[in-house]
Amino acid sequence: MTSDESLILEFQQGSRDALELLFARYRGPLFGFFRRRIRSRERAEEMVQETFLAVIRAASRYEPRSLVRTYLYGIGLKLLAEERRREAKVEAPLESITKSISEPAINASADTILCIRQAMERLDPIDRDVLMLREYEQLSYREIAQLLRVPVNTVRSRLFRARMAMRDELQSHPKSNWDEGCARSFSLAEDAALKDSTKDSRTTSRLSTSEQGGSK
Amino acid sequence: MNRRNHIMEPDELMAYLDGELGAKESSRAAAHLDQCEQCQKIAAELRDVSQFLAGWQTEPFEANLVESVSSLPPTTANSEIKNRNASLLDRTKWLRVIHPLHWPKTAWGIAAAGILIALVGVPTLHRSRQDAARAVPILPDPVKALPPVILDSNASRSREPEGLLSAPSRAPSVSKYSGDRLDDLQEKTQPNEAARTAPVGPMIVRTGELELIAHDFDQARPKVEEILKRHRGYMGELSLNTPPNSGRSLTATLRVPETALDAVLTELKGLGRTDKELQNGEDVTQRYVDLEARLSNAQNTKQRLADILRQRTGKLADVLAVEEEIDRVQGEIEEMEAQRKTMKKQIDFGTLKLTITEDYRSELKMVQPSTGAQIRNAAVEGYRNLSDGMIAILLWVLSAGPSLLVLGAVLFFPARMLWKKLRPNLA
Repeated sequence: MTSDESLILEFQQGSRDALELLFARYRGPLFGFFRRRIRSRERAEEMVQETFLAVIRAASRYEPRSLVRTYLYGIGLKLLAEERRREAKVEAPLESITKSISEPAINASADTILCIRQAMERLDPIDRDVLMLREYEQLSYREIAQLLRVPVNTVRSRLFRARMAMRDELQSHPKSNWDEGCARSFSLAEDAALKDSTKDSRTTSRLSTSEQGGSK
Repeated sequence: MNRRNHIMEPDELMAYLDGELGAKESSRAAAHLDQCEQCQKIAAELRDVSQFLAGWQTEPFEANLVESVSSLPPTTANSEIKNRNASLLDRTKWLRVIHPLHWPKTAWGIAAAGILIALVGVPTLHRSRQDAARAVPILPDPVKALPPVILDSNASRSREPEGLLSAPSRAPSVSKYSGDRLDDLQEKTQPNEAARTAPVGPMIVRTGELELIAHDFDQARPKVEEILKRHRGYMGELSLNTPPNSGRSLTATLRVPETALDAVLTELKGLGRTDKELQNGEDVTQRYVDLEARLSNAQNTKQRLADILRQRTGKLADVLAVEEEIDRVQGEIEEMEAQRKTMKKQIDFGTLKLTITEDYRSELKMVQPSTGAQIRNAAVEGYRNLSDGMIAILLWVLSAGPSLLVLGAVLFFPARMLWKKLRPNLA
């Protein structure tokens, strides 16, 4: 199997097939990367496209100093940072919040996903980034360190701290009651958000506490 | 957790479970994990956490590249296509302008444009040439290599918030441009690619040697330091010799940015008379390119091994063997990266060995002593001569006396008998 680095070098030489193959390899992982960090599915799809547009434009400047995978997620993180800065200035309509929360996903109930998201949101932002890059993007400690510009030992200690925090979350909700426990806590958060929205004369409201963390 | 009985920290255990430890540490961790119940419990908890998090799966995304790029929102792809169309319209408008019916206007327009280009373009061209001459090649960081277009597109999107939260407006009408657009983008990358394969032209390691005889040795060192500071160089090594009855000398190894080496040489020559000058340049382009290629191959090998380790299961011995191989490749990578770094430093900074010798002038001391001093000196000299003579005689007696005594004793009796025989005859 041709390596990712060879593919991008072939693309530099003008091979469009190489780029399409690279896209086919990474569209799923990148979509998952953005989807777990952004509320809107459509926006996540767009950001996958923008990532590859950036690759196309910057192909001539690519140096085989880091893995293509790290390179792509590096672009992804920059795009996410831009997106979050922009999102911070925009108020989200309440409908979009409830819609995004209740979106179905495969292999797990919406409540399980909500439970994971809520637990993630309670983490320190860097701990969360480290944990997600390891668990979902399957990056090595060294790659995470390179992406987040922190020492490898910091990655290890923060990852351990994040996992222990998640363990505590798990222990507070027994395994058989993950969905139930999280659903209960979610309903409380949702009630609070709705109460806030009724107090406000406007029809829009900021994200609830649980949702804000997911979009950071 | 009682850590006194533990040979490893919990996060080290986690690193072992993540396959992030080396071969030796892994075998140590595996042996410890077999015996320690507390660590087994932590390992089980960590696995539970990973299993819990694995529940968050996302929907599949099956778009292909062409439709994906063509379906970008108006703020990115479509705006560029609009710009492209606008530029096409501009070109056709220009063709209409140069129609014969518009020749008088066209002639005035061309003349005005020519003057404008001459006024603006020539200084700009001159300045850009100067900038190019001064430019130092910098290799971009892939993570930083995000093109400005994305940032611009985000900036433009921030003025249109409605299009972000709602579903993006797809534009099927632009799909026919998508292929051309991709080709355009690829074409844009090709000239840069030529520059990338030979990113810094010939890579020369420059060295030089300069020997000077300084007019003012005391000021030489501060001046050298000032020159280095101004050109962002530094002194690698310095030694100062002050031998008796000869001139002082300063020997230094200077590291100077390659672009400033000639200027530094010229300024250093102003410090004195040049006794020797030597310049050398070694072309290391081939070595550098080879090193880059070997490094890239080693990284690919390491990635493949890591994939094997992650994706395949096997016996512990096999896993350890792969980890040992990864360690070996990692060692090679680090070694080659160090070589590359050193080589890059040698290319970026020329080495100049500088020797500055003092223009030594031997001093003739003409001191006339006083009469009293002369008498005293003479008396001292006489006493010294007397004592030296006495000591010399004494030493001679002591050294030659025993031999003379023995010789005298041996010769005394034959001489006496001979004397007695000869004396009557003489008488």
